Amino acid sequence: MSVIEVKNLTVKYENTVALYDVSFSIEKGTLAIVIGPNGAGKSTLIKSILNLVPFAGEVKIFGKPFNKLSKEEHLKIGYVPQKFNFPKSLPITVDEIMHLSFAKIPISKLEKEKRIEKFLKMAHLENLRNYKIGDLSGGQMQRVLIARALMFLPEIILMDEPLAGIDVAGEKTFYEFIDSIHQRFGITIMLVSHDVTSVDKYADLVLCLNKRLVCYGKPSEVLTESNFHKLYGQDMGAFRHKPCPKDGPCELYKEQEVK
Amino acid sequence: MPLFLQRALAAGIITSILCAFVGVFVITRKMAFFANAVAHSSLTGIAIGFLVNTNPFWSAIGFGALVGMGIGYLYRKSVLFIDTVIGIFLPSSMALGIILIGFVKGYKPSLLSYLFGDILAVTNSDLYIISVLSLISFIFLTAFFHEIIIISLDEDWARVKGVAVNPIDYTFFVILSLIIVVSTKIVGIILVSALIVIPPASAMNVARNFKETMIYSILFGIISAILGIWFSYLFDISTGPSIVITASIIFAITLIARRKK
Ligand SMILES: Nc1ncnc2c1ncn2[C@@H]1O[C@H](COP(=O)(O)OP(=O)(O)O)[C@@H](O)[C@H]1O
Ligand SMILES: [Mg+2]
Repeated sequence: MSVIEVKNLTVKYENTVALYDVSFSIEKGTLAIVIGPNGAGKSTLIKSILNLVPFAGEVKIFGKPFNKLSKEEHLKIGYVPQKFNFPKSLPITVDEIMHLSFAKIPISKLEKEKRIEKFLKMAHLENLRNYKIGDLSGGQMQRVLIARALMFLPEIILMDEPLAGIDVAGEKTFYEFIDSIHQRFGITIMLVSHDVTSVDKYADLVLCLNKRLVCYGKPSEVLTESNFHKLYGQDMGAFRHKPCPKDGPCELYKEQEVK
Repeated sequence: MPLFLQRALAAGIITSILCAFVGVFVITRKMAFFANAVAHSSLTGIAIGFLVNTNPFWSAIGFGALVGMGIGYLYRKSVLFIDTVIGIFLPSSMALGIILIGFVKGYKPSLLSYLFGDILAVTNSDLYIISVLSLISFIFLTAFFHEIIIISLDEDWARVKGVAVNPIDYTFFVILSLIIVVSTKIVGIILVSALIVIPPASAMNVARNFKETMIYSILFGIISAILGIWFSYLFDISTGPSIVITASIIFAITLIARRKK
């Protein structure tokens, strides 16, 4: 059963076409990873699935257009935005964000406390509960957003570069958790990633996006040199360490002789 | 205590509490400009009231609510040049108000009392209107407290979770406008944004979390109103400015308290 269906999706902002004629579907229990260069429309894709930007085409989630979802279905959708814009000077703690997000959700107080505790712990935030969010680092804030999304025990999770600013150890914990919930409970996950190396290891499905859907399929089929070229305009080697290209700004470091 | 002073105190305290309460959201959403725009437009509303011979308080409230929805719409569209829009709209609506008041025949309303407030002239019927509108505002703000915070912090996320963002937000803009117009009775058009911005800003200097921000903001609002009105009576100075200066002194104290931490 497909839980996310996208047909002929086109999104235009004033002058730019961010997405053009994108179609795909994601089956229940799939871990799909979206890759693509900056400005490829990855965030726009997530936002159109969640009905947060105006679009042309058809998008269905749980088999329905977004505005036809029931209250219960809304709660089953988890979203980790790429950015969280809030006034840094506002004194609001990690704990308060979690509790406020849970307000008016029909589960018991005890259950709420338990989930908040568990997910803060998973995100290594248990010691930061009473920190103001303005005092957190980018990576810590990102972990708050992940914990906030996961504590609803969503059945579909859309995450927009959730790992930005998170260290390697945290990344491993994160992927292991994601991997286990999608295998054990059939949770559907769509995540945007910058990091092409983890795609190979965890993804069931890869979507390569560069305004159009450049490729779509199993990692082994899709992650080819030629697709990389289409996507990033260069080969996979560009993502490994290389000497300074001739006449590039990288040369400036050498001249300065970094000690 | 003379009756007029009792009325002044009652009106001052009620509006300060509401302004300080709603002000926390206004600051969170960076909407201080909103308070100024709605307040300034209320002069046009007042003039319309005089011209069509109804209670200018009501026409100011109605007009303020309309303007609030309009500016709310622009704010929601995140129009990039909203600063410019407000910069044009604010003096224009005030100029229009002043011109319209010039056309009022017979009894001329005193511009100064609208610009700077005249709390000591609050009548029983004013107090009645203030109480009813405050009650409505208070009920809305407490009933939708969580939704308003969630929307203020992360609107996209609120939408994903199925919060009825648009209806709640537009009602919020209308309620905010009501609070602003009602408060111009106390401190006047020019100073009303101070009642909305200063107490929460002071609270944010010393609060350790959101709950404390709310509590301190309301507390500072009440203290500013009581001390401000008392000083104005004691030293025979204008009430609105006296309240605002008191609030600013509290801000300065909280700022020092924060530096010391
Ligand atoms: N709100 C917006 N208004 C105008 N242009 C936008 C907006 N959001 C994104 N864009 C443009 O759309 C394109 C795709 O952006 P985005 O979806 O954020 O890409 P990605 O997440 O892949 O980096 C970019 O060219 C970006 O500049
Ligand atoms: Mg993005």
